[in-house]
Amino acid sequence: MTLLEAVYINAGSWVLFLFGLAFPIYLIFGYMGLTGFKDLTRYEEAKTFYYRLNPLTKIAFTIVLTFVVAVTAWSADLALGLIILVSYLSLRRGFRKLLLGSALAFASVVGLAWTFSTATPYTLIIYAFTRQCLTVAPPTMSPAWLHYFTPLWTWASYFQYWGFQPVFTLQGLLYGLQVSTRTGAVLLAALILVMTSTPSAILRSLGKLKLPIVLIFALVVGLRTVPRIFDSLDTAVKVQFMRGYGSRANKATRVFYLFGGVLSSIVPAMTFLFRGAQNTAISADTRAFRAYKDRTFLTPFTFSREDYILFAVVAALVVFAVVSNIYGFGRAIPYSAVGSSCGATSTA
Amino acid sequence: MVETGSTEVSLAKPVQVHNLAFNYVGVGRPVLTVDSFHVDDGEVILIIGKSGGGKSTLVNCFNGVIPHIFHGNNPGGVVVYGHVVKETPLPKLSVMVGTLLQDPETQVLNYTVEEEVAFGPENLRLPPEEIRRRVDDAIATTDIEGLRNRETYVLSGGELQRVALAAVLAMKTKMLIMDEPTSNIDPEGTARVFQTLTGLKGKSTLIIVEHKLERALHFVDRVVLVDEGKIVFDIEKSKLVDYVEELHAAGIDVPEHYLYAKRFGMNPSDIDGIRKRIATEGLQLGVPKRDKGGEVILDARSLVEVPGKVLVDAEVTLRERQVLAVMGRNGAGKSTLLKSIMNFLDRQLTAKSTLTVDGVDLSRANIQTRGKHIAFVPQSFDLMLINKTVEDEVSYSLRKRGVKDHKQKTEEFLKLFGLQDFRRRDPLMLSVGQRRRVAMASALSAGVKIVMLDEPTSGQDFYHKEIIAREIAMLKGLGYSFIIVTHDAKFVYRYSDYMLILDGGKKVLEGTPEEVFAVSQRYSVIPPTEYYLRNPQIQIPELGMLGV
Repeated sequence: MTLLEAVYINAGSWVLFLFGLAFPIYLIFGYMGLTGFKDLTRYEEAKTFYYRLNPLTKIAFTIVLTFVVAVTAWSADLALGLIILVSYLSLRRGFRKLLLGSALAFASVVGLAWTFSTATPYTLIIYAFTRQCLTVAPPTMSPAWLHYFTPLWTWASYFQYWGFQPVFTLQGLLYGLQVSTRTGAVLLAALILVMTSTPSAILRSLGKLKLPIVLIFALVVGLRTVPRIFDSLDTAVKVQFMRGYGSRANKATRVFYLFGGVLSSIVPAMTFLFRGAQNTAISADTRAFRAYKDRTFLTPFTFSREDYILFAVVAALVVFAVVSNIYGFGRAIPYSAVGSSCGATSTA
Repeated sequence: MVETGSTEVSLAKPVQVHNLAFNYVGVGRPVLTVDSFHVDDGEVILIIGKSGGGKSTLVNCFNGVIPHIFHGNNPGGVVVYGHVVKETPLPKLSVMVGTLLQDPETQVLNYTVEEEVAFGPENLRLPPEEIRRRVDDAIATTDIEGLRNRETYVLSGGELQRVALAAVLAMKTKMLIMDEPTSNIDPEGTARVFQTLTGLKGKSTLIIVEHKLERALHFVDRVVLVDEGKIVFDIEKSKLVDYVEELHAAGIDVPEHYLYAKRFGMNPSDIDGIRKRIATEGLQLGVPKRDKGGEVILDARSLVEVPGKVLVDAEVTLRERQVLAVMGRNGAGKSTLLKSIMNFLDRQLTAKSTLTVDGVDLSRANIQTRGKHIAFVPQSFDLMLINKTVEDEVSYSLRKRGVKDHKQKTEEFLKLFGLQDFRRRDPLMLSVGQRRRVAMASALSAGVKIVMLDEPTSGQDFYHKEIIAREIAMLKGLGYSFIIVTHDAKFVYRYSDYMLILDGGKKVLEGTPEEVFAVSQRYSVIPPTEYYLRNPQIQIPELGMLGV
């Protein structure tokens, strides 16, 4: 290998590696910002479809969706994710939330896809694409190996020490994208619950599921605290900028200073919030919290016409998943109707 | 009768304490020692003392927070309505004792006001009709009907505290403990909270822990001074005037008219009579010196909007070595004004601002550039402390800006703020006062000459306020100028040179404190009593509305 080749491989490897890190960071901190995060994690009052649903229905929808995307073809999961995303338009400040949701889902897809595409063992990818169960992959770049893979980039050798496969392949990339696509739909559905239900409504619903009250309360306080975390981080980062941090940043690098600022603000922000958490505990416990194993509620727990509509959607999703699998359009990454040579029917 | 140790106590007494000696786990010496103390049914008791003196520890022994949440050794007997606190589960105590805390932000848990008020009764497994009845009663008592369906996170501090009070009242407890309930809210919010408490007098037993002695005094029955973990005195309110020396010794800010009431043998509530007597006696009361300052060092104009609403539309001019106070109701736009000057605003807000500092136009400058000229210390100053040692914290700005002699300058600031002995300590592990000094030193070390402080005295006792005032005076002497956002009228009257009042985002009044306080009541900024003592021509509002 010539010096020029060595420089080329090293530089290229680092650019690709950093892309996987930097692009999601850019989307999250550069485009969404802490304010965007806050908007995606906070309830705002409205009267449209999602807001009229019982939180329990939304929880059921998210849980069923998680199972459905796990057992159906990635293309269906992508479609589901896009449908949910478009439905964000019905939320209060829907267009902004659609853009923010898209950015967050895309950042999570890119980040996860990059991780899976570079680190998934070849034997697993061969199994996922061909259903052939090899215990050892053929040597890289051998004709047998090229039968399975289309190489895109050979990593600098030391990348293997932190878990990378020797060669970045098209199949690895597809595998990564297909795995990560599944998370997008679930993430977007879960955010709907948070954005369209008040913490106390969630508390009421989870109570009906007989979850321990302490666990439910922890979740509710967590939900209430999330916007405060972003507020605190926002102030802490801006104060750092005021004190000279990122003075030498330009427009392109500013977002990475923002990321660095957030990292160094985590401890003071959390310390600040934990000091407040003590008050929260006192406030709850001195109002008879945990006096009984369950609670009664001011507002009755009811299901509306909208809930039955979403239950119908949930049922349709279940039917869709079952039918897809029966007709060979479900499971596996990517879809393969061919039976496994290992004799197993597990999904990747 | 219930037996605790060898002492028998009456079931009817809200609180009986015998031989209490409490120390936190890991702390050898007791932080609170009380031989004997009681509260009678229907009494209103004011507990005063400087921060860390043991006031909150004492009331936490009554509501069960000690020992059920804060653990420690609690060998003594605290009995509430016949129940030995350490043996009674907290949920059971919570139906007898309600607790309102200082910071409404952290004690409100729910999304809407109605949900928050219903939280306690729901925990008690009451039928929905009874929950509804209690919620309606509590909302009516605290006069927050207009807020019933509002989101709690959009409420002002004053509104939020009334919601927190309603949530406590909905528990229908026989006794209410309020631990500095008005520390973080504006004068109007404070007055509304005390108005509600006045309405509760005679119906509930009230225990109030307060720094604002003047505010609470007119409707309490007894005053208890707690200092260094001990009850120094426990007296009828009318006798307080005889204990001025003890209050001074314990670091309590004694209202000035109390001193004259004692001297003239008058009733301290008769402020008008006292000031007339001062005039008759020919006494000349000192007036705080107002510094006109030097050249204009900062000139800012801010227009901040959200769709359909103007949040701030105001201009500010600051002179060299001047302390400019900004006052106004919660939500008047004070903090937004500071943030717009610093370019700290949320991206969703539209801001059109101009800023000139020392002749340099910074209207288009980013935060880093503005930070070379102006330091901003937020109310939550802990968020500034990101380094592992005090020394690193103070030198942070110098290092980030590539200042060559940063070590020498760091030493100067450590010395200026008396932080040399803590230089290796983790800033977050220091006391509140020390942390605030570290935040101040690290903000100033960038070489700025303008400092903006957001609510520096919020939640601070007299002793700590005096320290802040001394620091400001010292820095002013070194050429620093200050813009201070505060609700503390007494602090403004004593230490500011100039002030302005914002209302609905607009500057409605400006001038010296004497000029502004003469008419500021119309914007809910109520002057302190010492202002009225020096200005006999100004009519005194009812006692509960006096500014503190």
